[in-house]
Amino acid sequence: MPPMTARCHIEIDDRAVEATRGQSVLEALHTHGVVVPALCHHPGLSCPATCRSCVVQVEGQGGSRMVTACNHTVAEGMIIRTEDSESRSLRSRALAEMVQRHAMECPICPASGECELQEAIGGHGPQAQAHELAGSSERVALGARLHFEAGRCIQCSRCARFEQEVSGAGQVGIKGRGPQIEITTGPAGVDHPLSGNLVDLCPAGALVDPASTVAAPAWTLRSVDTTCGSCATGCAVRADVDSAGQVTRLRPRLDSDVNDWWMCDEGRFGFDQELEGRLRLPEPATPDEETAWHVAVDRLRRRMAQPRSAVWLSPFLTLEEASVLIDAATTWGARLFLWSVEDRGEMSFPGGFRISGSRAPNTTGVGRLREAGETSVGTTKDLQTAIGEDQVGQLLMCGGGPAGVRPRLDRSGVSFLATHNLVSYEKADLVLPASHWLEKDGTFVNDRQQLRRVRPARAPMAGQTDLELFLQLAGREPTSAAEIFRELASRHEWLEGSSHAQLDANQRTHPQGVAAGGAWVDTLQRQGLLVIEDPAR
Amino acid sequence: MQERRWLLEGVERPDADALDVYRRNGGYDGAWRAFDEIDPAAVIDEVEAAGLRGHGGAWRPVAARWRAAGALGGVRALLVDVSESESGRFRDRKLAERLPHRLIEGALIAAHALTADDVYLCVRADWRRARSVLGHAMDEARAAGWIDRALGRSGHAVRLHLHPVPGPLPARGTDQLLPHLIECSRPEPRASNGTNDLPTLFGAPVLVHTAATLAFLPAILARGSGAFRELGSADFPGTVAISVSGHIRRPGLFEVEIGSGSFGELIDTLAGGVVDETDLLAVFPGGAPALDGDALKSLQIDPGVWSQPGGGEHEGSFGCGTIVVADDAVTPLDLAARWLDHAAQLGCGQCPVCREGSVWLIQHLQRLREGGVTAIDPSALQERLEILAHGEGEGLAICGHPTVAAHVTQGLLQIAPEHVDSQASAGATPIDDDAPLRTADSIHLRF
Amino acid sequence: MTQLAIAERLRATVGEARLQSLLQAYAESRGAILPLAVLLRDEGVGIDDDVVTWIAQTCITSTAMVTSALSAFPELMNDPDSITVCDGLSCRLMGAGYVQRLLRDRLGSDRVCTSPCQNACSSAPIVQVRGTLYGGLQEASLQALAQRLEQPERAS
Repeated sequence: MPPMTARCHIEIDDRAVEATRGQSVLEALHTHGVVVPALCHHPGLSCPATCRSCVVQVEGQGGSRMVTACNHTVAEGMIIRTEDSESRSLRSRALAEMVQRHAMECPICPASGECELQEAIGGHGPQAQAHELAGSSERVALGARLHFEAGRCIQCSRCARFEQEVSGAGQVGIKGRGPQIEITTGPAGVDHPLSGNLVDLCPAGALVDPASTVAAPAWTLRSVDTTCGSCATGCAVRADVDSAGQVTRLRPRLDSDVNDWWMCDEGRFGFDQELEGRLRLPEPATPDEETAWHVAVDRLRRRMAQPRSAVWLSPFLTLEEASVLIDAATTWGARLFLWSVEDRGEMSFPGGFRISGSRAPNTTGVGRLREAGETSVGTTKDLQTAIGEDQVGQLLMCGGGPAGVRPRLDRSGVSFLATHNLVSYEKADLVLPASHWLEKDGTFVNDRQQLRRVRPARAPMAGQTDLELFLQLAGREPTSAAEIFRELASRHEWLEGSSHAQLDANQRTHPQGVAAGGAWVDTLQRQGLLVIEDPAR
Repeated sequence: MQERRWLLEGVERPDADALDVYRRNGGYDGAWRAFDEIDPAAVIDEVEAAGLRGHGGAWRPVAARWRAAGALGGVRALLVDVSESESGRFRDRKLAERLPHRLIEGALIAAHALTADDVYLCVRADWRRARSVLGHAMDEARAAGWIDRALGRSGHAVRLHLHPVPGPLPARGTDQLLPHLIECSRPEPRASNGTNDLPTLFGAPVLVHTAATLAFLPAILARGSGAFRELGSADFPGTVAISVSGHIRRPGLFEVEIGSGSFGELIDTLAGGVVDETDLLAVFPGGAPALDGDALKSLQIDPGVWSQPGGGEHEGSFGCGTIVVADDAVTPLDLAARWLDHAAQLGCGQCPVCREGSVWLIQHLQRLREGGVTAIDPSALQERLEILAHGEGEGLAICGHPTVAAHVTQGLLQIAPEHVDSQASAGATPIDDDAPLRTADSIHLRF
Repeated sequence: MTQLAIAERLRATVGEARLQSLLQAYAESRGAILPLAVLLRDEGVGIDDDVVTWIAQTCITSTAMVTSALSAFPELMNDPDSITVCDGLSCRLMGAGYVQRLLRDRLGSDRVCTSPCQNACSSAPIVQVRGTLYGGLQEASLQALAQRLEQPERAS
């Protein structure tokens, strides 16, 4: 709660409200549920105030003026009007100008349904004659997952500012002058690791992901808020799921402590290779045949209860999963080791965004369980040494990472090997299918010690989740991840006061929606016209 | 009516651009006084007493801007607009080519008074002669030690730079435009956020002045503010240099006392009258609606009679007092179409109302020229022009560029509505193709 | 010789010191994009992709930013040797259309281009050839100018 001095009293459409000093008029309006279009403005970028579609009337010292809400700040006693006929007609005019040459192809545009321009026109735009000089769109490929539809561009310059301020790559700029301005790229197109954000940023469907043109329309998707498991940054993301239950795309959610409005292309586009890959294990298997879950669980418990057993924990496990597996190992008397994934070096960007060097999402979390646990947990090197000294007869090796991230371990001498993985790339005596992070319910701790909430966007492909498996291995009754987290929080000081419910509340979507693109869906939701089902809520 | 030269004093002297000629005729006396005899605060007092206003078109009081800048913590750099960027104006180019030292001296005095560290002379790159003359004059001034005597905030000598501007800029909003031009190299003004914050260059506060404004400073300091104040009107003291061109016998740059006569007098006496003595119409590229001959005759050369900046009755902006005269061989509609096309090309393209509005208007004026009034909806045309004209005032545009474009066009369309139909029925005769080569009798202050 | 080689030669002719002082005139070197482009044109170097890359590297910015800057000034993209007819309001009134047509007929369309107002309006109509201004053109002087420009270019 900011101190009282940071507040000021303003009036919005004859309603007396409080605002925060230094806040823009646009922010104050949004806070109080008043929507005006703001097409060049993006809260994560500088504010050029050039689209002029957020014009409102402001009365303050020096009389009444028409100002752009995005770049004027509130002041004590300010009276803001958005509903008067003058400011309504000016906003409508600005929008009419903007769409005069905008290619009118909403029926075939993938942005349709979550398009900021569409939303703005619907709420504030002109009634007729808007697309008077519109032509059709011409498509230019700027990158593998980025196409530019020139006819749809409204010259808002968000993409060019993103390239300067956030990615720092400067690969998109504005070219030409006057009526001819358009966006331009260097000879290499756009090939930096944050390029996917340009699609989210674009308010008019001009920058599109070619894959999305064949995907289900935005209004048929349901969304789940979760955390990206592709690296230890732990970006807040929203997973959109189509009616068949497939995750069709990931988009970043605002989390100013972690990822602001952005995410990297690897996280955004990399997930479905693992999630929907043809090589994913459908059920447990021995070298000869597939087996039923209960057969596999019984066999594993029997073997692991023998002396010289070891469990290799994976940093792709959630806190809850790792904790239950540690419990199981303890009952078996098995030694514990933790796989440390090789660090590839952190990548950071001018806007403060970073891609963690660790490709495993929960190295920190599992590591902290290890520190706090009663049993000691060894490193990969310790495990290798133990194998070399013939101290490991049975080994449960947890993986769960993407295909490119594989453990390196010489296992000669291990008589029984069970692996737990998304795909089977190793000869083992028992192979157990693992859950993808988009199928998990639980928590990660990112490399900045921040608790990140992971929630399932789809049912586990293998029929049951890692947590269910580990509970069976530990001989425990089925229970929820939230319940296990509660146990953890009571045992570990560093988790005190946290709970899934509290983390979920903190991760609630910002009023301005998922990265800009989702505003339209949010508006529909607010108006009760669209119900997003969320099985996890 | 007669010329009164302050800005252009000595412009016709042989080798007026050479330092020794300039110095022999009292050049750098003002700088001497400003650097060595009085302190920076006294320079500002002197400028305030003179009542000097900015000659870039907004006519803001110079000393008041300097004091306001000081109250906000001062400026780091001074940006001097030597880019003209107005079709029909040739005052600053002439100044740079003929009297570069007056420009440099003025800029140094201002930088010293403001304790600015850097001065950027933003000169049009396509004026090759102006650039080389200014560059040479800067070398001369540096060698003679004048630049080293102007001290910036740090107590070190002011650094004087020549920043080339490759082409014309949008017509208005120079304050926010020039710093942004240097930063991002695009001719885009930044939007005002409603505060009085100074414009910034790479984060440091700066002040922007038009060349002609600063070139008044040497004479004001050397001759004293009183002599300047005696001239002109109470609100707009001094003289103004008017660029007159087009179908005129003696086109040129005429510096006259503000309020000393009408544009009609200027054209008929100093500029020798209209070629062939036919009916005339006048275009004010600075943003006032165009006028026909009768209306022009009585209009005073005084910013005070215009609604901008003086709050007077005449609609539009006095601008810099630039005037382009056309005789009746040209139809206003052709001129309007050409003017709008020109304005659209020079716009930055940031605000939809200017970018898209001009596309629409150009297309409809073309239809009007080809098919007459039945080809378009005249009320829609008027409405779009109104929107363009009020763009800045109503918050739909970040600078006055569309206002200028619309005002001139509106005036042209009003002057002779009868032209519109007769011309259209006769088939379009665009000035592009059929206008013959015309010649002035003589040129006042030849380039 | 490629444009880039010419740009590199510029580093030699203009001198590293002057180049550095040009870059240091700005708090961030991207301020020097336009000055560099103008300097290159003064030396008769046309702007092509290689030169854009060279400017981007010299000013520590991306090629897209340089393209973005230069494309706002069509004047920079013209051939440095082209004959520029001013197309400002006053020149138009005084017969710039006639001048354009005549020069295009005599010299070929590709050698003649137009520019916005050059701000020498009292001398309208005007033509600029490699930085030299020809103003107050009359039938005779225009014909003479066209004739002179028709001659094969002297190597100077």
